[in-house]
Amino acid sequence: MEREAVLALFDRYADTVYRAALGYVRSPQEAEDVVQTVFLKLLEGDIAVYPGKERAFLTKVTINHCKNLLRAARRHETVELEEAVSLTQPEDRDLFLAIMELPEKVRTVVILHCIEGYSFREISEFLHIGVSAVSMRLRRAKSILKKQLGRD
Amino acid sequence: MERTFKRISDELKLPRESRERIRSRIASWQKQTEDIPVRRPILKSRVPLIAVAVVVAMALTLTVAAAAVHLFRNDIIVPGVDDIPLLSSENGDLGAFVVGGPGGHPPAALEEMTKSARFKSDDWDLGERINGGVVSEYLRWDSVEVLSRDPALRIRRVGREDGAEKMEYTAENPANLLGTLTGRVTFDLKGMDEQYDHVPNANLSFVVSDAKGDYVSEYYNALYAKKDGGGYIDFTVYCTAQADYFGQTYIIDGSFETAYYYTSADGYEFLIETDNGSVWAECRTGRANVNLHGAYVTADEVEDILDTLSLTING
Repeated sequence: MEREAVLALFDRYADTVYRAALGYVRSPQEAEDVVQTVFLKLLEGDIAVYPGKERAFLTKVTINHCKNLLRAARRHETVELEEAVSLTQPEDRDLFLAIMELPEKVRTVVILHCIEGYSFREISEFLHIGVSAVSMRLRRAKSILKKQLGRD
Repeated sequence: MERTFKRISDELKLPRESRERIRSRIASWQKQTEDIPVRRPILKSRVPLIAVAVVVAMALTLTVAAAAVHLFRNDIIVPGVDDIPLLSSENGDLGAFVVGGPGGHPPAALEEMTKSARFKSDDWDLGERINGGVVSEYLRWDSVEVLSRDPALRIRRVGREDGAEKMEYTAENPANLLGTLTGRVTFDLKGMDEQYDHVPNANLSFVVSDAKGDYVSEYYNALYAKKDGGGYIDFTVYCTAQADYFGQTYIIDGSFETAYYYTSADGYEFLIETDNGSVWAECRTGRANVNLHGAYVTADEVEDILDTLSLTING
């Protein structure tokens, strides 16, 4: 892909890729590495992205890359999360940190649906699971978060 | 919570300095390969997995649960035949038993499974075939007495001349059988019910006691069909009073399409194997075996079920 095209995608979707990666790797430093890797892959590879599907494509690439990373190294440093995440409102910070503590499978659904706004159908395609599985994971996540944070 | 999610989405961004750094990297990228700090992924690792002997079972949800120590007896995945311990008759060891691969056969269709699992009143009432569940501790039963024909919960007492007894149960809804078990293994089927429909009357439970009335074993089995059709889950729990009933066996890595250990949300280690449309998940301790066979479902979907079981194995 041409450099200008990749830069345009980067300007538009770098935050999306960062948030999706953070949901998996739970480390701002590693998430930044993922962002760099994903966009450099577009430069290196002979990839054509269907117009209008760029965000979903980048999310899918990000998820696949993160899954490979996690298979290779199962340690997650979450200490740096608390130091590095800058959210203005304390309740936002509490919720975000609670989300980062969720089991990986439900955490990714929360990130993709609640924060990135993807539909259940889209998420089912990203994660190769059924739509009902997406719904169930989200329900579980919200149940855990409600218990932990004590609010709706 | 929804407003908070929106604020998180708006505020959680790639830090400005990192954004500028990465953008600069993209902008100056040359066609030659650069030195990129990427971890090389190891895909489908074939590193042999030796089962961990002792795991502390702790609930990973926020509910308080009693901690228990379990010695898991799941099959041990080894790279090759040479890694399997030799038979030894001198020291009394039974030696190693190797589980062969599944043979590449696709799983039976749901209709076939339903036909074989579904309650048949002739067998139940007449007792000409006192079947309904092979019990390894007792190979022969002598009598049967039907105590209830209510479809909500059918009950029959199967007996032996020596006084041993098997109380058998079947129902339209397998949830009705949960109360027939002794509590040595407990589980919750609500998660299963969310994505699967129980197959009516394709279930069975029994509890066996010996001539003195002491507990011998118990069994539960139920068949669930995927709500969107095609796939199904056959769920079985077996528990016995006999210590070390379940020994460990070996499987050779590669004899299944995939084989790996999965620790469920409740902290129980399952061995998951997939092959040609089947997914098997089994958690074995010295006295209990929790087993799922999924057909035309994915390993991810089976893992999801395992995570919602609220499983406890007591003792």
